[in-house]
Amino acid sequence: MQSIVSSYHPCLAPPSPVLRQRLLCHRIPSIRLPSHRSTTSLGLFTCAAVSRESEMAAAAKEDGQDPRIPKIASSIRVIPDFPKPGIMFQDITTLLLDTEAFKDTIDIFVERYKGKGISVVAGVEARGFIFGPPIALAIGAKFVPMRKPKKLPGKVISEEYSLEYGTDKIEMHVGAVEPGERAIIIDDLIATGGTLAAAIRLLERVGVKIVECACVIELPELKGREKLGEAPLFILVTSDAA
Amino acid sequence: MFAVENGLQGDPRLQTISDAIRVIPHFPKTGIMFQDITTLLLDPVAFKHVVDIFVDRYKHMNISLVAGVEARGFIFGPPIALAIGAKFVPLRKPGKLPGRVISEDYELEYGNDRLEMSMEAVKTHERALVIDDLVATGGTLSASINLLERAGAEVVECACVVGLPKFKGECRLKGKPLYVLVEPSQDIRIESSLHLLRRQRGSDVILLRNLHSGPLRPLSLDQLRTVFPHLELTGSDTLSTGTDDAKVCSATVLEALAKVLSARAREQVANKRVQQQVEALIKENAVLKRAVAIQHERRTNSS
Repeated sequence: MQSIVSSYHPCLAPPSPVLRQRLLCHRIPSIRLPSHRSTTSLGLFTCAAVSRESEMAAAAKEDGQDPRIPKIASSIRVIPDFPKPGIMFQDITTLLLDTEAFKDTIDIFVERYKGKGISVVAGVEARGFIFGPPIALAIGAKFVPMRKPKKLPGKVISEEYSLEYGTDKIEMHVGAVEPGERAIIIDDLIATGGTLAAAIRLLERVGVKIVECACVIELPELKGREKLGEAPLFILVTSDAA
Repeated sequence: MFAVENGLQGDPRLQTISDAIRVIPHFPKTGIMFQDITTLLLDPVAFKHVVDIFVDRYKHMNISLVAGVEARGFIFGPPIALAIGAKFVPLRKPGKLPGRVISEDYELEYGNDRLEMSMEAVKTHERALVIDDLVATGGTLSASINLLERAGAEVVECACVVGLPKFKGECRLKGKPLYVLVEPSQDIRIESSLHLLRRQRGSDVILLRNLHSGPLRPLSLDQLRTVFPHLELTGSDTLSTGTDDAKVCSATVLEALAKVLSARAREQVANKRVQQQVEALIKENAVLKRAVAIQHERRTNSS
C-alpha cells in the first residue's frame, strides 16, 4: 500500500500534524480507485506529493479508472475540529485554488451528464453554487439554486429536514422547474444526506425526475446514501468523517 | 463603466440578459426593487451570454484569481475562472471558511457586516478580479478589494451583472474600475406584485386609495377578477387591518395596473393601425379586380 501526502496545496501552511484521507472506490463501476491509507508529516511536501500522485494516476489508468481523481483528492484539504471538535472538515476551497483539479472535477461531471436529456442542474447553497453552474452551462441546462429560508425573493416552496439538534429548511422558486424535467442535484459533499434528501423531495413534489445526485466527496460512515431513496449517487472521492 | 459604453453598444446579448432578470418589488423590505437573477440562470442562453462577455473581456488581462462574494458571486465567478484559467476564491460570511482567515468589516444601511477570505488564497502580486451579481452602494465590493489588497493581490477590476446607473462613466470603487453589464431591469410582473400582497398581508383583498383622498375602499376578489381576467386569483374576502401596509399594497398595485393599462393601450393602437392597413389593402384589391375586369371586357369586345 502506498502512502501518499494527502490534501496539501503547496502554498498552504500545514494545518496539523496528523491527517488522514482515504481514497476509496465509490461503488460505481466507471470510476474505481485502489484503497489507500495515508499519513502526513510536516516535512513531506510538494515533490513527494507530485511523484506519488503520478504513480497513483498511472496505476489508476492501468486499471481503467479515471486518472484525474488522485489529483482532485489530494487537492482537498482536511481541517480537524472544524466547525466543532471531532469533525474533520473537508475543505474544497483548496481544490478551487488548483485550476487543473477544479477543471478536471467539472469535466468529469460534464462528461457523465452531457447528452442525457438533463434540463435542470439544482445546486444546494452555498458550495453547490460553485460546482453547479459550470456543469449547467456546459450541458445546456438551467441552474436552479436551492437556498436557506428567506433568501429567494419570489414565491417559494420549502422542505424541512432534520439536523442533529432541530430542523432546517431549504427553498426553491415556484416555476423554476416543470413537471417531467430531468434533473441532477449537486453539492460539494454528502454527509448525513439530510440536505440532499430534502432537495430530492422538493423537486419530486413538482414532478421532476431525479436522474442522479452528484457530489465531490462522500463521508460513507455517515450513511447519507441511504437517505436518498431511489436516486443514485455519484461521487469522486470518499473520506473519513472523523 | 457599463458594457454599452465600452464597445458593446447595440450588442443584442445585453438586451437578452436584461430581459431575463426579474424584479421583485419591496424585497427584502419596502422600497427596494430587488433584481432577481435566478430567472437569468433559468435561461441557459442568457446565462452563457453573461459568462461569454466577461470571459472575452478578461481572458487576455493576465488574471490569475477570481474572487466571488457569497452567495451569488459563487454562481458567476467559477465559470469565468474556469474559462480564463484562474483560481476561484470564495469571499464568505463570518465563520464559514475553515483554516486561517482574514476579515474585513463593512457598513450596511443599519449596522455592520463582515467578509472573510482564506489566508492561503493569495500569492503576492497576483492580478485579481472581484465578481458579484449586483452593485448598489459598493460596500461589499469595497470590502472585497480591501481583503485582496491586504493579502497582497492587485485588484484589476470589479465586475457585476447589474449596477445602478450612478456607476456609468469613469466611476471607480476605491480607485479600481468597475465593469457592469446592465442597468436594473424595470420588468415588474403582475403575478409577483399580487404574490407579494398575499405574503405581506395573509389575505387576498386589495385596498385602492380613492384619488380624491376619501376613505380607503375595499376591492373584492370578484372585482379584481374583472380587472385581471387572465390571472387566477384565489382566497377569501376578508378585510385587512392597519393602513400602513395597505398603502404600500395600493402603491404596488397601482404601479402594476398602470403598466397593464398602458400595455393594453399600446396594443389597441397597434391593432387600429393594422386594421386601417387591412382596409386599405381591401380597397386596393377591389380597384385592381375592377381594372382587370374592364380590361378583359375590352379584349373580348375588340376580338
